[in-house]
Formats: sequence, C-alpha cells, structure tokens
Amino acid sequence: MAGNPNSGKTTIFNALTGAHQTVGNWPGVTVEKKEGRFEYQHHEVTVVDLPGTYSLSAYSLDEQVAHNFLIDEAPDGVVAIVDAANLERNLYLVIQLLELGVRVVLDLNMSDVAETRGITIDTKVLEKVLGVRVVATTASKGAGLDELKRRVHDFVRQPAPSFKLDYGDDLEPELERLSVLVEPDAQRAGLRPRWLVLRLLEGEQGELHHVSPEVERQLRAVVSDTVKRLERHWGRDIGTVIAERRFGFLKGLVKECTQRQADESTQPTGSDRIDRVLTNRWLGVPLFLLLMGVTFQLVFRIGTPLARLIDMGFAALGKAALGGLTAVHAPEWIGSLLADGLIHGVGSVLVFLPNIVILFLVLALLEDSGYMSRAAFVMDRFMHALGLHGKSFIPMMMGFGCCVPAILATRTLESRKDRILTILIIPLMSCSARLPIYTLLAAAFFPRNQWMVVFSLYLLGIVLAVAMARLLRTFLFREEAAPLIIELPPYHLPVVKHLLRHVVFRSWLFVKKAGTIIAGAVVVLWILARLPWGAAYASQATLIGRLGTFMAPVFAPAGFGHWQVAVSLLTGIVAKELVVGTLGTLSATAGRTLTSSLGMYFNPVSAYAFMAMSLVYTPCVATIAAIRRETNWRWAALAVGYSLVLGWAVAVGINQVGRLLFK
Amino acid sequence: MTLADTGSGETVRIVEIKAGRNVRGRLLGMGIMPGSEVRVLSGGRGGPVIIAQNDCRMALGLGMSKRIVVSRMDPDARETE
Repeated sequence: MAGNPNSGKTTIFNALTGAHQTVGNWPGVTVEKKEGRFEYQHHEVTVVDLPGTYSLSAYSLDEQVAHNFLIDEAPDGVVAIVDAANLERNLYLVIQLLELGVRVVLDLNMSDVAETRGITIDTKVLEKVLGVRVVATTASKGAGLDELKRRVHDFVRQPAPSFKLDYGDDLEPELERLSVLVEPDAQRAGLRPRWLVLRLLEGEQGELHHVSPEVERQLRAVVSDTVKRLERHWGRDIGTVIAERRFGFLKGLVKECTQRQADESTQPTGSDRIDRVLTNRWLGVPLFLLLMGVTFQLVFRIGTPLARLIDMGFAALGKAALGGLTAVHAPEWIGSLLADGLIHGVGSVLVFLPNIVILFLVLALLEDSGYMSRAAFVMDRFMHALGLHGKSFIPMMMGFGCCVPAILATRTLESRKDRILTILIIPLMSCSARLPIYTLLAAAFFPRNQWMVVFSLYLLGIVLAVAMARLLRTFLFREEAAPLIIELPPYHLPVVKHLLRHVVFRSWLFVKKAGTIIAGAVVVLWILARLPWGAAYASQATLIGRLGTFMAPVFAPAGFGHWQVAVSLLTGIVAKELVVGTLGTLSATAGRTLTSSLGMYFNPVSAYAFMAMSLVYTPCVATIAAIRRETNWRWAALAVGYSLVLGWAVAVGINQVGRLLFK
Repeated sequence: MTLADTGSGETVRIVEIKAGRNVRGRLLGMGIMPGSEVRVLSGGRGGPVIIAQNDCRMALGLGMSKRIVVSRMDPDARETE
C-alpha cells in the first residue's frame, strides 16, 4: 500500500488487516514497517504498508525505503491510496508507480470529504486515462472496503500497466534515444527502460548499478551531456522540468474528471477558520501551551490514582507469592527473587502505565484530529531560536511522560542530525518515573514549598535541555535544523474505535519492550543484591552494597556520600522508580523508617542536589536501549557519559553553592 | 521578495527556491516549484507561513519561507479555473 501521508492509508491498512498485523523495522533503518494479512475467497493476501510519501524520488529516507521495496521485492501489486479531495498532488505518486511498471489499484479515499465539498469525480475517465481500476472508499466509515478486497484479489490476472506520459517534444526524443541504450540491461533486471532513463536524468546515480559496467561508463557520459544540454536550453534543472510536465498532465486530467459544484476553491474551509485562531501569530503559542497544560493535568490527575491502585496490587501480589512459596517450603531465595526482584522491579515500572496510556491517548487524539502539524508550525519559530526543529517539540513533551516512546516519536524528523540531537536531550525532560523521588524528598525537606520545588526541577531540566541543544548544535551538529515543511490536513473528528485500538497496540508494544529489558535488568540487580550468599538483601556486605561503598566518596562533594544513597542511584539506572524503593528497602533492613533514614542521608540543600542528580544522571536501561535502537551504541554511550558527568557537576554545584548561601 | 515577506490573503507565484536538491525535491513532490501559484493563508511578515494550493494546506517554517522567492500576482491576470 502506498500513498501520501494523511491520505487515510493507515486506516485502510488497519481495516483490511485488523488484528493480523506486525510492526517492525525496515532492515537497517529506523523506519517503521507494518505488515499484515487478510483473507479473501480462500486466498491469503499479505499487505505491506509502505511509509507515506509524496513521491518516489528518494529525497528522504521514507521515499528510499518505499522505492527500494518496490524494486527489490516486486510485489504483485500496489494499492495506491489517493485523497479524493486532493487529487492532483496525490496522483503524482501514482504516475511514478505506473512508470515503474507495478500493477496499481487506485483507491479513491475520503470520498465523503470530497462529497461535502461538492466535488464529484468521474472514475471512468480516471480508469481510462491511467489504465487502472478505481475503487472509491471512505475508510473512516468502512465504505468500499469489500470492493477493494475484490480488486486486490483480481490483481494477479491484470496485465502490467501500459501508461505512458508524454513529456513533450523536447524531452521525448531524448527519452527514446536513452531507452534504446539501456534496454538490454533493463530487460535483464526486470525494469522498464523508460523508467530507468527518467531516474538517471533526474540524477539518481544509484540506479546505475542495474546496468553492466561497460554500458555504465558510456551511459554516465551520455546522461551527463544530455542533462547539461537540456538544462542550458531550459534555464532550469531537469528535475523541476520533469515534475512540471507531470503536474501539467495531472492538472489536465483532474480538470477532465472532476466537477465542482461551486467555485469554492478560494473560500476558507472550516479548517481554515479554526486555523486562523490556532495558528494565530499571538494566540498560537499560548493556546498550544494551554493544551499541553491540560494534557499533563489529565495524565497526572487521572493517572496517579490509578498508578497507586496498581502499586497496591503489586504489593499484594508480592506478599501472596511470598506466602504461597513459604507454604510449600520453597527455599527462601526463590521467594526473594520473585517478590523483591521480579514483582517489585517490574511492578514499579508497570505502575506508571496509566500515565503512559493516557499520554498516548491524548497525543493520538491530537495527532488524528490534525492538530499536531499545527503545533509543530506554531512552535517552529521558538524551536528554531533554540537550534531545534519544530517537530522536536512533541517528542520532547512526551519525555515528560516517558522517554522510550518519546525517542520513538522522533522518527517524524526527516533529518538524522535533528533526530539524534533531539534524542540526546529528551532524557533531560523529567519523566514521570522521577516524580516519586521528588515528591518524597520535597515533602520531607520542603514541606511548605513542595510544588514549587518540584516545578523548579522540571524547569531545570528544560533549561539544561536547551543549553545542551545549543552546545551540541555548536560542536557536533553544526548545520542549521532542517527546514520545516509540513502538510496541514483538514481537521477531522477521530474515530474512537481506531483511536483506542491504536493506543492499546502502542501501549502493549511499550510494555513488551520496556518490560523485557527492565525485567532482565532487575534480575541482574537482584543477583548483585543477594551475593555473596547469606548476606541480608542489599546490605552493605553484598556486591551491590560494596559497589555503593566504593562509589560513595564520589558523591561526597554533592552532599550525599553514603553507600545507601549510592546503591539507590545504581538501582535508578535500571528504572528510576526503583530509587525510592531501594531507599525504603535499605531502611527496613536497618530497622529504620524511611523518613528517619532520609534525615540521616540528606539535609535540605543536599536533598535538592540529589533530586537534581536524579533528574540529569544516566537514563534508565530501557531508554538507553531505545537510544541505541534509534541511533547506534556510540550515541547511546555519549548519552550515558554526558548525563553522568553533567548530573554530578550540577549536584555538586548546587550543594557547594547552597552550603555557602544557606549555612 | 520572499514568502516570508507576504501577508495573508495574497496570491503569489513562486519564482525560485533557494535551497539544496533534497529540499527542492521534497517541495517538488508536494507540488511546490517555480511557476506554482499559491495563496498565503497566514503568517508572513518575516516569519513562517501557511499556504494553500488547490485544496492542500501547507506550513513552511521560518527557514523555509525566507528561501522561496515569489512575485505577487495581478488578480486580473489570474487564469480562471
């Protein structure tokens, strides 16, 4: 399935494949690959959802992936999803598909929108001119899908397309001449000579690998000469001219097959009117911030009580497991592994699942309705000043919930440099797992200013993120952020069913990914806390206790050079939620309450320093794994390295300065 | 003058896109190239713009709008659809 972004492709894909879909990556790149299947008349049809693209001209990673798949995998056919209300631009991709020689079924989607705008499309004309079957659908309502399945089923019996675009009297002779040159090699590679020639003229040198070496040298020279000659004659580059000719043809085609009820093309649409407010020069940013504020209110107000419930549930589960195992006289260490290790560890991560789900839900709502692109536009000016891309804002905001999906969300950034830069500063956005640390210490040491203290930490994170962005931009990613070019689809009311399915699917993926990594790390942690055999769990004599003792002096300048604190920070590398839990466990082992322990380890200044350290120092293993997956281990190492150093420096700075000011 | 210098409500024709091949290629695929006519819906005045072409709406950030050279269109000379 191919089509423009915002053409409803995903909806159709979901409608066709339902629950039978898998999400992965295209090999070697961080572009999402969705594959699914459906059954029609006892035949199983495998569907691959290509990334949404405007063309196949390989100017972006998405386009390259789509293009390479079509060449290498040679699917039986392509369903080209076309937005009926935006025919001209959507058909550009279809032209390229036809020139490539794949079998195409044209899916005229969003027919309902076209109807409301008074647009009627004569599908017979389209079918005749392009030589493809056309199916009209309205994916959001499920209309036309059966016919689409039938057409897809009929693919195999269809001949390959014979569509040929007339590129004009100046270009056609050149195309003929060059086609003859490449014909033998093209035939051998199973490609259309004319298509290959067009690609070469457009500058896609990569296509030369289809040609034999002897022909290649000659071809390179001929193509280069031809291009120079033509460009001199036109005074423009050939890529532009080719696109012009294609659009010229499409303009004519659209005029021929479309009828508009009234000349509404210059009237502002409903979406335009909404945009006048939402993208207003003065109102735009405040409205966006308001929306974000509401989002976080929802996430925390609804999420936190639910999280507490889950927490209690897991605690009960731990007790029950322990009880059950003791009853069957299982060795004590199994009970400990289960209760202290797995249940406690994994539980403390799942605890904030409600926050994640609500965050996903709200973001999916904003994305589906069409608002997200407006948000990127509105924040562009501001982000540009910070050296960031407008589209970085949303992933950074998601970092306040959890870094793992936030890092995944950076895939919408086209430029790799912008992406890496954003990924590196996302961990500085204080994720929801750190909140328990703040609430605990703020309540204990700043009882009258709790929320101010917590808020100041979030602010600190943002300030540091901006500073790091500037630093990285100046020293590592020297060029400017890629320009923002984003389509603003018309606003529309998201379909609740699709929304829920999407959120559940994504949340489940998150649980699987984060959960597996954290479960593994928790077991390692447990081993470190139990050995050598016989020592009390996580006491100073254990491996982790000794590690903590060894590291404690490092934290002395920061005001908390106690081995227990060091141990809790170590557990924080596995999952930030474990920090508080570990402090609790260590107090219990020593027979103290948590509050009295805190008084032993910290004073107000060092407590604040500790909170700052928790904010900045190395992100949790799930985040590190996500960074590595989206970039490579070098960047992941950099992320870990700089955050450790920065975290230590900030904590020490706060403590030293604070001691002077407040003692 | 560039897109960044326009104001909302204006119709302009694109004269030149001062950007690298990749960026020009992306705009091309979206139908934005020298010769295209677009309506400015909002923005301009030195900043990012939202433009309309037929039924498409597109947002171009600050960096982009400054690099697209345009000329104002005489309303009488505009072709009727």
